[in-house]
Parts: sequence; C-alpha cells; structure tokens
Amino acid sequence: MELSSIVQTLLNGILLGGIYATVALAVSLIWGIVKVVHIGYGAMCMLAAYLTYWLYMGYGVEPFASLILTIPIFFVLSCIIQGVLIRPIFKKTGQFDIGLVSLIILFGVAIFLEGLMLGLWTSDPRAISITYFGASQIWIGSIAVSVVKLLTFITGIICFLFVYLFMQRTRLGKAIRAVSQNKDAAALMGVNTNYAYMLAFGITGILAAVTGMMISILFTVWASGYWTWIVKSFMIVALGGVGSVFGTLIAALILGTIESMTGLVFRFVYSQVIGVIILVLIIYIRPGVGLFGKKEVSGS
Amino acid sequence: MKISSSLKILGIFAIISVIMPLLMPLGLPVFIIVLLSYIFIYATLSQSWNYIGGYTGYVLFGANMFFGIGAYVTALLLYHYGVSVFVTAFLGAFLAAGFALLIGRPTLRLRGPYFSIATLAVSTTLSLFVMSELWLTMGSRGVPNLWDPIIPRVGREIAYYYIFLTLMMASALVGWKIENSKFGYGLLAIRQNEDTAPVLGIDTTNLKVRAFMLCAFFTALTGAFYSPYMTWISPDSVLSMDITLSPILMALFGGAGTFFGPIIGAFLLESLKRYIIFYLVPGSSAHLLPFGVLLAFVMLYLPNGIISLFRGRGFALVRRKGEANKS
Repeated sequence: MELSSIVQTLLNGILLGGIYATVALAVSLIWGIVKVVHIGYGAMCMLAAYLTYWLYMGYGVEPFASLILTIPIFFVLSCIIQGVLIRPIFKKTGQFDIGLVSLIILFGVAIFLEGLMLGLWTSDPRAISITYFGASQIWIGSIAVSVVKLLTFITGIICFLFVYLFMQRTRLGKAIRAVSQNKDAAALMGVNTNYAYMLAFGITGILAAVTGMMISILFTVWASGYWTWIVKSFMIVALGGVGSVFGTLIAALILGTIESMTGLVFRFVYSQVIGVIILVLIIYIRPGVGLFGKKEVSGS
Repeated sequence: MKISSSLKILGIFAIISVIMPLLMPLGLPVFIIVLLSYIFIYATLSQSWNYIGGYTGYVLFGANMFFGIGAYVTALLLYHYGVSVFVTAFLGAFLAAGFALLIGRPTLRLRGPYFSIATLAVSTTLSLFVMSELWLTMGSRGVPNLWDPIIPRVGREIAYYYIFLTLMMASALVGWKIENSKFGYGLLAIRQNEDTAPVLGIDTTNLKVRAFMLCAFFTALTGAFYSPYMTWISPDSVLSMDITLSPILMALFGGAGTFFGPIIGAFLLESLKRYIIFYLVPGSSAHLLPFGVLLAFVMLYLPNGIISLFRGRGFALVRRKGEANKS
C-alpha cells in the first residue's frame, strides 16, 4: 500500500470524524445536562435533512442558506418536545425511573417522526449533489480533498466552538452547567431550571438543523436511515465520556479514522462491526466515563 | 394469602374459558386465523420483552436481532438442507441466548441507558451485516421458498395458528412462573431499588443476564417459526424496527411487569395495526405515527398500563408484587 493512499484515508477519516462529532455533540450535551438520552435526535436530524433537501429541490434554496430557516424551526420544535414530553416526567413517575421513561418517550418521538417522514416523502433514498467553488475536489499533491466534506467539517468545528464558548463564557451557559452539576443548588441560586433544560434542548435543535444539512449534502436522506446516525453518536458519547465537549470531538475523530482505516482493508460492514465491539468494550472497561471523562462521585 | 391464590386459580380458569373457543379455529375465516396468529406472535414477543424490560426496567431496543437470528438460522438451514423448523428453532433459540449472554454480560453490569444503547447498536449493525454478507444471507433479497417438510402446505394457517398459540401460552406460563418465583422477586427488587437489592443478597447482574437470555430465547423461537410461516424472509421483514417497537409498546400499553399485560396489549394494538395498514392507509408504515404518539402518551399518563385500571377491583391476578411498599 502506498503512503499517499494511507494519508488519503487518514484525511477522509478525520473529515468523517468531524461530521460524526457534530451529530454526537447534541446527544452528549443532553445526556450530560438533562440526564436524558436523546434517542429521538437522529430522527430530528433526518427531518432537517429532508427539509433542506425539499427547500433545495423545490425552491432552489442553497443548503447552507436554508439554515436561516431550519435553525429557528428546529429550535422551537426541540423546545416544544422538552416542554410537552420531557418536563412532565420530572414531576411524577410511575413504576419506572426518569431515565427510562424519557428514553421510551423519545423513542416514541423518533418513531413518530419516522412515520411522518415515510408518509410525506416515501421510503426512497434521496441525495443532493452539489459542488462549491466550481470543483468537487481540491488536489494537494496526490491527495484529493472533497470540497463539500471540507466545508461541512469546518461547519462542524464552528458548531463546537459555538457550543464551547456558549457554555463557558455566557451567563446562560454557566447557568446550564450549574443545573447539570446540581439542580437543587442551582435553583437556590436563582436559576430557572426548567428554562435551562428547555434551552439545552433548544441548542440540540440548532445542532439538529446543522447536522441535517450536512447529511443532506454528504450522505443519503432516507427516512429509516437515522438509526445508524443515532447509534454512531451513542458510540462516540460512550467513547468520549458523557457531557464532555472535547471528549466528544476527539472520540469522533478517532472513530472516523478507525472506520476509514478499516474500510481500506475490509468491507464497509466490518468497520461498523468494529465500532460496535469498541462500544461494548468501552462500556465494559470504563463504564460511563469513556476514554477521557472523569469518574463521577455521586451515583445515578 | 389463601384467598389470593384461590382467586388466581379462578382467574386462570376464566382465561382458559375465554381461550377455549380460540383453540377451535376451524370454522373461522382465514383472515381471522391469520390475524390471531399475528396477535400470538406479537404477544410472545411482547411477553419476552417484558421479562427484561418490564420486570427489571432495563429497556431492550434490539428484540429484532434475536428475532432475526432465529428466523435466519431456520431459513438458511431449511433452504440449503431442508431441516425442519422443529429442530432448527431450538438451535436458533440457544444461539440467540448465547448471543444475549455475550452482550448482556458486559452491558448489564451498568445501570441506566447503556444496555439500551448497546442493544440498539448491535441490532442495527447486525442488520447491516445481514444486508452485506450475500454469501451467507443472500442480502436484502432474502431467503425464498421456505416450506417446512413436516407441516402440510394445505391448511398451514391452522397448523401455524396452533404453533403460535402454544408459543404464546408457553411464554405466558414462563412469565407467570417468573412472577411467582424467587427469580421474579429478585427482578422486581432490581426495578424498585437497585441499591438495596444487592444488600438482600441478590446478584443483580446475574439475574438481569438470565432474564435477558430468557427473552432472547423466546424471541428467537418466535422468529424461527415466523420464517416458514412467511415462506420468504428478508432483512426488511425480520430485522425491521417494527419488531423492536411493537412489543415494547404492547407490553407498556397492556401493563409492563405483569404477565397478563403484554397479552392484552398485543391483542388490542396488533388488531389496531392490522386495521390501519390494511384498511385505513395501505402500506406498511402508516401505523408508526399513532404508535409513536401512543408510546409517549402511555409513558406520560398511563405508565402502569391499562391493566392498572382494573387493579384493586378484586382482580388479584394482575396485582403487582411488592405494591404495598409503594406509598
């Protein structure tokens, strides 16, 4: 094998990892802050992808420009999901605990959205093929870099910086982090916990819109295809540690690289199998903290 | 104690007297027999999901992988070598139980959603694997021409009706046994308070893994009989998300953690599903919309299932164990 093909694969892996990271970021955030596993997130991304596709094909709206439209829609949608479905379960629980109830409710959301998408757009896979700057690839020596992949990678990094700066530097972000650390103490300090949770969900809505746009221009838009995405993001979150923004980024880059390196030697499906094996091993060896997370002192 | 056990026996007699007419389906039209067979299939799946999901509170999101394992083991052996399903079903079921042990051992040590996530990941990857390994599974085109050598081709609806009825009864019996055994009390202790369960000498991981294996066994057994019933299987049919979704919803809707709940849930919801996809909106996915809404609704407003509506009215059969502990 030539060196250039290895470098090429490595680069593709990193670019792929950037996209994975954007998908996983929202799951990691919600899991870390609201302590809820957002299993419906993949379906939201796919809905955003359909919307982007629809706007592009129907009205000729450029995918990056359609974000102006999709981001507010998904922000509101996400807030509604939190307000209507997730907030009530903190008040009363039946025989199961909150984590499980929210998991099943969000599974219901995913199924509902899948039904909606199948009803509106049938089960045919679709894709947008689009070129930027007049070329599909940039050549650096003998290494080809896909322009679309590069652009989405940069968008993903911008998302990360946005979330990181928002959580670290703004008052709202600090409030959200305070709620994630200790809900009761944060409430005593005057933080409206419901509002913080809703905002956290709203941020995932924004991320869903961006991710959906990425999926629509890079991969196929397919109503039942979101399960692979949600599984990927769970792998990354388990690998990178729950709630850790940079752990998520690094884990995603690692997973992307591993996948494309295995793709070099084996067939596509084995890269997925290796991903699952890594997931189960990580759960077994470093439960709940992944590779980079800190062990939590308090239980549950 | 005496009264409740005699009420239980009374309840069982009541159930049997309801089911007896169902045991003689010869006079019924074929579509009713097929509908009932489907109800029995989903009742078995729902019941076996209940072993792990209902009693311990660990949500399994990958029932379709066990169903698929059972279906594919049977289908491939039947297609290539003509082995009867009555042999291969148990082979597939034990294989699925072994697979469950392999996944359950590392992931069930942990609390929380890790088990759900791992099972979801494994099941999606398994369906990718089945789609791509053409030499083994024939890919997305599926395995055709599955006729069991023992079961007669004419009147096979009735033969399979009895098979699926037996499976449902067997799984319900196991559910009832679980509910009235030390094993079942252990599982309920895990759901109610997993911190104190080990203090009482319960090996929680071991118990959860055993319940999970039992679940895998019955799910695969159903899948195994499903493939010659369909005579043609494909990843779309036996590894579909519906196989995962419907049993969860049926168990929760009927009443998770009771052996009777999944059966009620399967009867009501499978009828609804068949009605929607055959009469209301032809197509195979229209039921996803109402099912998604129903899932969220049940969890929010009826977390103990419709069976809880009948509780405390002298129907001792459905009373949950350890209920007195709750305020």
